Amino acid sequence: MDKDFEQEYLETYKQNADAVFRYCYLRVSDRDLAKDLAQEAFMKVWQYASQGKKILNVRAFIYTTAQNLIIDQYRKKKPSSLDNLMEQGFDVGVEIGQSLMDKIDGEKALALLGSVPEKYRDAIYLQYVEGLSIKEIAEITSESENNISVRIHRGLQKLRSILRDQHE
Amino acid sequence: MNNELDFFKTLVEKAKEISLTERERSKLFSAVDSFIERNPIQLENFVEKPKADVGFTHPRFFKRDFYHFSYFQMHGFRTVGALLLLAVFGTGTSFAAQGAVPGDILYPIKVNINEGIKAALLSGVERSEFDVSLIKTRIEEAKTLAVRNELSDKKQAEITTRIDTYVSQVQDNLENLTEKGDLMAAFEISSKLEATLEESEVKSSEPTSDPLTTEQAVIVEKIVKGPRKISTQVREETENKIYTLQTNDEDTLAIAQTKFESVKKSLGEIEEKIFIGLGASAETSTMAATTLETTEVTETLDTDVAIVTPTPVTSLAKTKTVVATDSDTEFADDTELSLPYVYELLRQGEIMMANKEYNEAFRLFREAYSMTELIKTRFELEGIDVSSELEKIMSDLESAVLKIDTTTGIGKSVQPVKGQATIIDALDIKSRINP
Repeated sequence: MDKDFEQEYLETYKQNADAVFRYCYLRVSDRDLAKDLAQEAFMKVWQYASQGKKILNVRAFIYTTAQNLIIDQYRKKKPSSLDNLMEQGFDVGVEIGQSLMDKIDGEKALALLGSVPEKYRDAIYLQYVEGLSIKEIAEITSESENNISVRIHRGLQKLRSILRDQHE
Repeated sequence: MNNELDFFKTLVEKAKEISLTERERSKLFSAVDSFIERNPIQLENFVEKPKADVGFTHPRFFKRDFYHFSYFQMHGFRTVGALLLLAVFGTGTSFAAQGAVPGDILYPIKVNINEGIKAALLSGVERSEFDVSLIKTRIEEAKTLAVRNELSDKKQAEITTRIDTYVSQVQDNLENLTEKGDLMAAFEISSKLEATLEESEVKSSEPTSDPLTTEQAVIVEKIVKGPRKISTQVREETENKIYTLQTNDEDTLAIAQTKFESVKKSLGEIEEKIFIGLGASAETSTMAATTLETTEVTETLDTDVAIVTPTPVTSLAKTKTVVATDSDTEFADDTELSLPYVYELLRQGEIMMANKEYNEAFRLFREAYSMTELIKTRFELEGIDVSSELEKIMSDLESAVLKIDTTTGIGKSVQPVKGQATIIDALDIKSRINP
């Protein structure tokens, strides 16, 4: 019956691998490192769950683990991240060609998000891009749901202001 | 980017472009898969080990263990609990554990695995219903152990702690439900909690269907008494909240109707007690009742003429129902505990229902219910001899029937079915006592 658990977890992996990889990538701006971090996050979570330890929300738990790994990485070496994506440019690993205009707009969008302070940006990213609930984001960031709601609200205000400036 | 919407659309599209390539995905999958294979589930960590010398599990530990399964719950592992159970113990053990009682080797499997898995898979209303059913199960276990003379202090403590935990969990859930505005669910659960404990209650002073000696019954009574009392408080608190919210909607209507049915049920139980008393002194009582009927009707007609509009219930408590009795017992003198008062509350409540004042109807039915419960308690706690009280009860019923007849004209200003039902109940009691 262990196999059923394993299959379920592998299914969880399939459903979330890209998102976790993306989450890591947007923070470390290093494709290989992001892959390693995502892989390690999934392994650590399995190790934890297989020991019968408490996990209330596995998706949030995987993100939390990934985030902790990223923080460890920060400690080891100051990474390039979303903040300086605009400066460095990055390989998004697109396999199917996009129009140049789309690509520019998309990168600009990411860069604009990158210009929002980190604590607001993470909350907005997790909610709007990855579709996580406020509860899940609160779990990942160890903040209260109320705080997350406030962060999203303020982050959106900042984004609006930036967008308005861009438009003008 | 024209606006915010465009921005987010572009952002999401762009972000989603950041993904693993097929090759990368496949490589990572293989790595994770191999890791899983090298690190299999440690099943023993999912199962609480029964302690060799102590048959007691602290509720905190007990609760924590349940949540080991939460991960699987979140991810559609609806069957995983059963699968795990099969993996560890096989169906035979699981099934055998169902009949286990504290002290049995299979008992930890029953409470921590069989029930634990189910509890972990339930939430909200379903979880509370399950908790309530577990309360009943624990009381049944206590009875079984009592009959065997195996209900030691330690086992009593274990069962009591578990019941307290369930009650506390139900209370927490009730708070959530009322906060969320799910009043009907809160009402039903709180009523169910109380009803379950009432049904399971053992009164050492009364004969029960359980094969318990008086000494054994005293022990079980001690276990159930506290939670039983709390369940009534919980029910009343929940109902207070419901009433305070004054929603007066369809839910309140349903709640009021359910409360009305509870009063009827409670009245039925009182009726049953009356007939038990009647059986003891049938002939003399019937004669007494017949005599009373004549005098009662005349007096009641003179004094309690037609209450057409609803009267505030506070003043109703002071309405002295005409009674012809020489009894000077506390029960007979206590107007508030008279059956006509209950019937009057029901009648007023029905008028409120007809006027779509569901909150007020609910309040009146609640009061009527409290009255019936108090009357029952009097019978039980004070050991009132029903047959000796029969004259008083008969006269009360007579005046109740008369009052309803002369005021509302059977369902005239009230919902016909309910109005008639109340009156028919009273008439039925009358006819059965005095055919």
